[in-house]
Amino acid sequence: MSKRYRQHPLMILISLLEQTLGILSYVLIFVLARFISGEGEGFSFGLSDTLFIVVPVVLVVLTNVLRWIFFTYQYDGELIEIQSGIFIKKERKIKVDRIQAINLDASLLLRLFGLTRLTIETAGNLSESEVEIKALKLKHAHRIKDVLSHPNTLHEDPSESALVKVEPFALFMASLTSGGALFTGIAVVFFALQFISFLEFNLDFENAWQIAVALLVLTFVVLMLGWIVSIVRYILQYAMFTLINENDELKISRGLLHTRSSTIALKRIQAVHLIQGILRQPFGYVAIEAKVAGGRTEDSLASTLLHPFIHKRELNQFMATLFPDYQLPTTYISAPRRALTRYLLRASWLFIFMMPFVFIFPYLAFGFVLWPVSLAYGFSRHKNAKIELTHTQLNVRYRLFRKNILMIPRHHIQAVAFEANVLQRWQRLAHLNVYVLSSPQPTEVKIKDINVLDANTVYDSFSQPKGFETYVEEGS
Amino acid sequence: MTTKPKETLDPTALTAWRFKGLIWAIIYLLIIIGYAIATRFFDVLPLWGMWVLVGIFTFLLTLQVGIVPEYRMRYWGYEIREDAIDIQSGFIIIKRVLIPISRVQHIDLAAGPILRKYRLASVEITTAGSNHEIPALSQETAMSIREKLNQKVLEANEDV
Repeated sequence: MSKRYRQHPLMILISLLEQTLGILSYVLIFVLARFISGEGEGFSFGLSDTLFIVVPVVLVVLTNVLRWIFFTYQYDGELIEIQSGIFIKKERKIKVDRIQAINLDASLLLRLFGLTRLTIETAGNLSESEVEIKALKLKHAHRIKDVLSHPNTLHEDPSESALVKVEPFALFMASLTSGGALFTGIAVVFFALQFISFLEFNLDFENAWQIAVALLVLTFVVLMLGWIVSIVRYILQYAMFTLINENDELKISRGLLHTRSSTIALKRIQAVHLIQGILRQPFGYVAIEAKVAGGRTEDSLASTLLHPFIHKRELNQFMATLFPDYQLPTTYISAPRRALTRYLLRASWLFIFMMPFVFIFPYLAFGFVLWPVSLAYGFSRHKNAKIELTHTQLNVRYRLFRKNILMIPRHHIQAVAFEANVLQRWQRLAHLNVYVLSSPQPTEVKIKDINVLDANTVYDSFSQPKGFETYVEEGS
Repeated sequence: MTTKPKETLDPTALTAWRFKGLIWAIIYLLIIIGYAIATRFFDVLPLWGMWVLVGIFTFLLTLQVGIVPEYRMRYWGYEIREDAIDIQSGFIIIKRVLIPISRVQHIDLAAGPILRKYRLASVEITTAGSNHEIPALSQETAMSIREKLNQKVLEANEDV
């Protein structure tokens, strides 16, 4: 067993800094309150006032120091042990074979000092089974990681191969076309509109057109700003993206200011998810994510992205290298033509519902401009509702807003369901639902309004003995 | 949907559901009486409101006691196949689920006071990603299903 370690002492300072915002606002509020109640006569700080400010701050500092003092850990090739707690002491032992993933990540502050944060994930999503060492020297963290993940390493040469490295140009293209750009733009517009009502326009508008033009220009500027903001955010998050396959464990790291790295055991991967945002579709670029079983909520977002931006041409090779057992979809069964009305209807519900309200709020009429957009989405969703069932996998394709392809090996399917209401039964349609384990929440995919016969075929295929297992066809 | 799964719920369930309807009838009656008393104190409440309530509740009762239980019996079905559990439910929206036994995490038996009175229980099956239920089976059947499933789960492959 290693000797007992504490976290790096600088951690106290760093966590204080992170809490500074809270502390400062507390002080500020207090000062303001005194100022107001003093009715502007200038404030004099009596002893009681000073105490009100100083005491809580001192308490916060003290708590942080005590927490640091009472947090220790030890480790060896078989387990890691953590002792923590000031009053209620807690001891946690985690055996190495329970460890699913070890992540190292560091905020800018930590990186400045050459430190990193180490988190350990075990099976299950309970906070009970997680370990977090907030600050330790990078070298030490790597040493712990090595000891805990390869306890029986003699002198193995890991089959390292950097599978994915994203070139800066590709990164830029990705940032331009990310979904985040769209959402940030919309969000910024929304907030800007809130502020506009507070502004007073001294400008003299002669007719409605000038107002419209001014609004359009404003919206455009705001959207551009939003786009630029999201480009920067994307680059910061995904720069230096690398993926390495080391002994059937995928090590992924990314990030410019705040680097995140995570390890995913290949066998934990339940399904592979290809995503094409609407901005990327014309160019044929795809993002690849994995559905992973187990893991924490917070870091899960960081750890499921396998490739942020790959072209369809290179997809085959990527999949063949990493996931040789997976088959990319070839022929699909699509939703039938008669299902289209239902898709378009689903796209129109909101607007139909809004219609009576227009009489109360005439400005809602502007919202109807979006109806054709919604219909276009509905149309595309119908076109993209497809399934493919093979001996080894169930591939489903669907669009919500982005185009998705989910490839699930049969033995990772948790359950298969289908539902149909009276109308659907009359039209011989049904929804197909597939359930797959993933983090943070299990995945449920609904392929809507497919032909009932196809749904039955899928169902029967799984109803057979060993239906949920991958099987090899005779004679191959 | 192909053929409906062959097992049905326990016929005693009909009685149990009707009994539940009876309990609801008592509750409805109490509400109506309460309302009638309330009209004495609060002049705002109109007397015809009481008759409206009577109407609504009679309608609900006929549904709950007369129609729904029969339909439910007809439309609930389950079957325990070799490797999977097949459950079908619903009559306006028919839902059919297939659950591989190897994915089952645990099986619970649950029963509220009314079900217990009639010696019924519902079987709740939890997988890693979802929950499913077979309501209103006789306790013996429910327990034997649980035993059988537990057997199969132990035999099944240990994947997640």
